[in-house]
Amino acid sequence: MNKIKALRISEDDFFSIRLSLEEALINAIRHGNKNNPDLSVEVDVEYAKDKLIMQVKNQGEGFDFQHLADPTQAENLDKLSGRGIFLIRNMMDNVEFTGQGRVIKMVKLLKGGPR
Amino acid sequence: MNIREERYNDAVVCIPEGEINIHTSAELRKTFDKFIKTNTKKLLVDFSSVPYIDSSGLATLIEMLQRLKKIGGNLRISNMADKVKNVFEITKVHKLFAIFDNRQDALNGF
Repeated sequence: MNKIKALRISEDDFFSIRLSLEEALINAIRHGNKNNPDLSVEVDVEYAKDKLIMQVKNQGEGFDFQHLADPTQAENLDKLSGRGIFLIRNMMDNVEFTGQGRVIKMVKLLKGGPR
Repeated sequence: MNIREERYNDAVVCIPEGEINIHTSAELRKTFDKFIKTNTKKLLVDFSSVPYIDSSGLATLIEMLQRLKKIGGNLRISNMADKVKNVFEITKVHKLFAIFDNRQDALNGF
């Protein structure tokens, strides 16, 4: 995160990037690897002039990323979980899952000025 | 995380200083537990020193709101930074809470 912080990224973009990366990491450890300390999480971050590409890969069993409940629906609004991926989808410009949901790739187009 | 507390009549103002995230949520929950034990029903969480919140932070606040409502209480929020407010708005969690621009407005009629 400190390496990303050092880049010339606007404060708003940095907030979105940080939140998305942290939510993806928490999901990978908790839901992907099911807190198994023997399993690892791989993080790749690629920075180009106008975009940041982040990939988080876990070693779990994967999940059905195409049928996630919408946390903003009235019946889900007061639930205590299920907002991480929704936040990521809203904060990033492109989000893709591969490997049966074990890999999340997040792209943020950097439009803000320097921090 | 440092969490300050002030009292205004029968309302408690809780002022967390720092990020409300996966690491600090447990500490905030402990403080909330104490408020429940001491029969606090009106809780205002002043966000003026909260620069960041994640989904576990939202869950901690929703859980406390539910606990307070069960005993006829409520949780209000004030002084949110725009970026933090945005996290509430994206997830529509802002619909669950009474959110005020400042502490005085939040305490009025509480």
